[in-house]
Amino acid sequence: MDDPINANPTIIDVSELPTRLENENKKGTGEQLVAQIVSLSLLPKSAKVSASSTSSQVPDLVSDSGSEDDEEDEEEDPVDAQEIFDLISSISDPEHPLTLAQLAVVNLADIYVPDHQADKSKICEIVIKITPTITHCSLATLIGLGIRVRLERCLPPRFRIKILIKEGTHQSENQVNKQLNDKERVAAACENDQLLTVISQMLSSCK
Amino acid sequence: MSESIHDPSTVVSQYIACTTAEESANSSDSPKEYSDILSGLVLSKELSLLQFIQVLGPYLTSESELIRPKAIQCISDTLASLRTTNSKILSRQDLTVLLDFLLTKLDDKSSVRFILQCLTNLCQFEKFITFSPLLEKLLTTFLKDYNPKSYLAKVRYESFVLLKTILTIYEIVASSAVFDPFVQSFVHIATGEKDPRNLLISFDINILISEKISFDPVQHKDFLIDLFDVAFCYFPISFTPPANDPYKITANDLKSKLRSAIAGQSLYAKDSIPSLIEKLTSTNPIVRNDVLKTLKLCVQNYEPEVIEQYWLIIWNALKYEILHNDVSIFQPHEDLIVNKNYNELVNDNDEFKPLIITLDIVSILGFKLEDTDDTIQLIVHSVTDELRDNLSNVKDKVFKQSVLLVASLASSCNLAFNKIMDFLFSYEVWGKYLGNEPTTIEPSSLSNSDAMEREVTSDDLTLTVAKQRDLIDNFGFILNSYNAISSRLLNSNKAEYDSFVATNHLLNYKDSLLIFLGQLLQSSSNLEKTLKSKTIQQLKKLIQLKGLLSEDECSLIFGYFNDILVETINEEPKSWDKDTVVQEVKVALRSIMDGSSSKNVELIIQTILPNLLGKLPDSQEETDSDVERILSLIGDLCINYKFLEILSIRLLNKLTYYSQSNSREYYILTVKLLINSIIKTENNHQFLMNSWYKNFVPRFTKSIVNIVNESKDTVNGSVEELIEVSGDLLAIIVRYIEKSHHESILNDFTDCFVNGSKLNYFKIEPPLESLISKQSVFINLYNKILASVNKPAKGVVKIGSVDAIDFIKQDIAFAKDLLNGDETYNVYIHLGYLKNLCLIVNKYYDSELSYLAEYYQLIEEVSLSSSSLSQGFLQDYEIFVWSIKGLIMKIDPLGISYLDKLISLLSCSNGELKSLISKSLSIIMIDLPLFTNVQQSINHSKLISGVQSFNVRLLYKQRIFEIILPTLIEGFNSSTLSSSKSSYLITLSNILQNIPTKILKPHLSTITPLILTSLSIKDSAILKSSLETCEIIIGESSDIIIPHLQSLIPRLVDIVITPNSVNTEEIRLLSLNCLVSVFTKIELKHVLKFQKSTTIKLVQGLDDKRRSVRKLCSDLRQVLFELGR
Repeated sequence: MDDPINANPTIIDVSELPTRLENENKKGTGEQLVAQIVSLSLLPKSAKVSASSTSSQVPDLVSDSGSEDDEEDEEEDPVDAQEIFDLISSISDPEHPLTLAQLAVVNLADIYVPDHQADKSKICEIVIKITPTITHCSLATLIGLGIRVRLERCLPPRFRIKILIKEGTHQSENQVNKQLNDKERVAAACENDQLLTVISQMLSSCK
Repeated sequence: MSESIHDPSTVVSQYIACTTAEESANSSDSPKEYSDILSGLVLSKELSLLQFIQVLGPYLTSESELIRPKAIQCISDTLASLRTTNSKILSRQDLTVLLDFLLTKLDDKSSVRFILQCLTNLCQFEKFITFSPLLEKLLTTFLKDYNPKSYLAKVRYESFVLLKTILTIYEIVASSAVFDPFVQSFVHIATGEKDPRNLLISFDINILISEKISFDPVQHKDFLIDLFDVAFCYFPISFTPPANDPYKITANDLKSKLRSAIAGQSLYAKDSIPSLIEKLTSTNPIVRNDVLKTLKLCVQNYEPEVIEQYWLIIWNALKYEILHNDVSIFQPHEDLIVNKNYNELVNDNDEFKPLIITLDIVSILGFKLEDTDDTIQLIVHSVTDELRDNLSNVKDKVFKQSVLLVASLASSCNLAFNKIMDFLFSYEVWGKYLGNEPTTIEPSSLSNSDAMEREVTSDDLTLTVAKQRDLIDNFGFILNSYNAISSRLLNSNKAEYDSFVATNHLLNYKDSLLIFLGQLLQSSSNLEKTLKSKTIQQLKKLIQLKGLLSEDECSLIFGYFNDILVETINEEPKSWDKDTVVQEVKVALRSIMDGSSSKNVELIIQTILPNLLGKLPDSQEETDSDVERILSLIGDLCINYKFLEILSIRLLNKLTYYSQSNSREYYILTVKLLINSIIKTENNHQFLMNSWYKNFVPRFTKSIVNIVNESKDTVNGSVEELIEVSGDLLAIIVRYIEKSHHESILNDFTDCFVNGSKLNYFKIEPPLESLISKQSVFINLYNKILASVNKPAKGVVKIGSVDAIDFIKQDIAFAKDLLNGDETYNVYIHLGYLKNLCLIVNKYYDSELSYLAEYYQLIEEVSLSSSSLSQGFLQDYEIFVWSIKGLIMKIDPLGISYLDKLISLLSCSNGELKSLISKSLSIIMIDLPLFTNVQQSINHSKLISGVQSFNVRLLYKQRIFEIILPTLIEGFNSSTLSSSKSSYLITLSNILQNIPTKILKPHLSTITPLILTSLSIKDSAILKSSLETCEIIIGESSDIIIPHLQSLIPRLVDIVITPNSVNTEEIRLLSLNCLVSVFTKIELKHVLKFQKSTTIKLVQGLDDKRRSVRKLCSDLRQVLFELGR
């Protein structure tokens, strides 16, 4: 019937995509068990390291008077390209049952996050270049819009998002770029209920 | 018998009065009582029938519309009672008189219901039965004078009962005088009936008529049409039961009765089959399903001769059901085309269900005609002829549909199967694809010569990969036919099964089929994963077909499978475990090992296992090996105990290589694999592991001891893990050993580890140092065994040769004497002795533990002072807590009383002690695997070995929880200091974490207010425990939390967006998790009003410092955006 125009794209296996998700907390069950058992001891450290540390072992339950300086103890995780990639890689393609990363529409290397992003007082522009699966892909704008909606929902307002078609991958590159970054047109699109339903379907696979 | 004191007329008037009153109230005396008295009088000849009627006379002729029916009812009840006691009592004369009398009354509208009841009773008297003119008279008059249209449903019901009774008692022969009036009467009363209860009985009578009366198709043509019409005019029934239906009649009752009525009489076929087929044009799936089910029943029930006559009509109607539809629901990898339980599995509304029933009918059609060889030949011939063009070309649009049809027909009987095999594998149909020579066709199977005229061009023979896939899938359906026949015969007729297995015609083609599939598997490109997967599915099916393949052929296929595994592992070193073909092989092997003969398991063990094990390196030195994935592949395959046994021995050899310190990781992986495989196999099918104690345990134990001893000096973290997993493996083996062996097992281990005996069972040399004379890490290994052996008989206080009390003393001594050196390692040993203490207290020690009082006194003293806790005290405290744990598990009153005392100390002034007590509660409540009776994952209710290792009372946690919860809540509410509040709360949280939600649920409403208040306390520890509990509450009983949402949601959001030293990353994440639960688990209408405000406020969380918080925050916002969409 109505086969998608590009019915046979190259597909990257999910396991081969760069990601930060799920890579943590990989510990053997045995190890966990040992840790659990050892944690049951009421005295390990206190027994070892002299009496002075007893108080730190049995935690003082009264809060440390909530001194605000302690906030600085928390390490800052910078927003980086990988984080952006993880946010948008699992968006579904509107016409294939695959994600954008599997189709290599979005690539880690095509995401640019400026270095001054840590400074929370400054505006920060993130550039994402997307690669349509074919040069006449009519859905490039829809994909771009999907990415924009996802990021606007997930990033704080100080970030500005610029979505471009990767150079030389689309016949009407300039037009699409213009459309994707035109505030008015994006706002108008977001008021179209039908369009929003499609986008919400694309985002439903997000991890 | 005493002379009756009853006066008949009094009794009759009592009866009349009583039945009149009956409707108003349930009076104590029932009319039955009086009718019984009356029948007693008649039986004892005190009252003649004539006198009885005379006494009733005034009532029978009464003007009152109420009295007359009662009088008749009185006769009816009396007759019923008479009949059941002595059906010979009434003479022919009596019966004639009564019958005449009753028949004249048939026009009395108000009494008809009881007249009919009377007649029903009357016709069951013996003399009535033997004198046929009576029945004839009854029926003719009934037919003439009774007009069903003028009565209510419950009156009409009696007329059906009458006819049904007559039908059950009398032999009504088609030629007899009663035959005509009877059938006419039935048609008379059944016509126009609408009441569901009456319809049910009407269909019943129709079925009975079909069963009992043999009709002559010519002579009784009109009757047959009438009888068919009074049933079929209701088809298809759509019926919705009224709300207060007293008879509880369902649409399904009606449908199935009607179906049996239609299918009950072969002679209906002339009318029923065309009418049913006509109704098949409906587009409503419910109607179509009904039609097809009825048709199926007809095919099943009608005489074979009738079916012979009509098969062509049925076939012509049904084939289009399949040919013109989408048949994607039929999956080639399933074992049967039509699942036996499809009727229950698939709803009648389902649009695919007609397809399933259709195929079922096709196969029943063949089965029905099994014994008529000629007809079967004819059917097969014309069916194959008709579908020949579709079947010879894989590219045909209705290829699959046609295959399904012939496969269904083939699964009907032996002959059809053979004919169809010959046809399908002939050169011009499928033979050409399989590379069969045209000459191999039996000339007889060629229907006509013009088929040969069609030239087979080479174009026909080259199949694209897609078509190859289709072809293979469709082989699957044919194999299903074999499966259907062989399973059916195996269950019904062993001799026929044997002959089928030995002579079926698929045998002639299996070689070429095997070669074809084998070639596809080996020569097609590696990129064609689906093609390979499908080929594997069918090869697996070939193996599983009973009696088809020889052992050599099976082993050939296993060889293919093995090649695939080896090749893929070599060629795709990175991702072979995710390869779909490998997955398919795995599924196939598992399914083969699960169900089929032990021969196949043996073959797998011979062909495939050695190669996989060969892939395991001999030491960690060898690079590039992926032990983990290969082990997990082996583990996935292992569901059969034979396989497991061989595997364990082979792996044991590997373990000796891995015991070198540089391969420790592999050692642990292998042991884990064995544990998982045992659990999985036992889950699948329990078996005893007695032989393992001889074959596996000694060598294994020795190898652990060696490793641990070797690494004593260079202690590294993995020793603890090693001992844990190895101990688990030993424990699980012991659990599956017959419990009578347990005593000697414990003796063996005690001998070796505790006594350090030279001549130990495990041949460990030099003997180990006793673990009660010097602290040793082996205590943890020993604990596992001690924990898993069956609990001793009452009064046994010796463990092997050691007295329990000595053990306890030694444990206490060691617990106070800590080793120096590596920290975790020593803590591990230290806890080993504490756990040992707990175990022995629980299992072996029954008398008073006098030391507890001493320790408690110490604790009490400390609670009064405010000094910080000394190390000595902490050690004493630990001993105390672990001993209590052992006691509490068996709900020992002493343990409970000490626990109670501990909880009450939470109100003391020593802060350190309070937090210590809070923490120790998690020790008491935690479920360590060591202290659980049976692995939870095992789904059998009882262990096959009969082992019960602990003194664990089933509900001990619930008991304990219910005892201490009120104390905790009260303490929390009454204390004013935040530090005291926090110790209660943390104690509670420690307990909650270790309590199954089932126990928790009834108490949630008491805990909730406490949690909600504590959410506003600025203290990390309190917040953490309350958020954790909060999430449990939201998940378990959200209705408790709904009234509090107004305050809860803003509070949680607030915690998320104000990071500070109290609201740490962990707290923020917990809070976000609570919010996620709130918005996903609570009904939409309650949370929708918070959607907008929460979404906006959470923007701040998106700029959190920690990535994990940002991530969860955006996930939550995604949930919120989609809420209610």
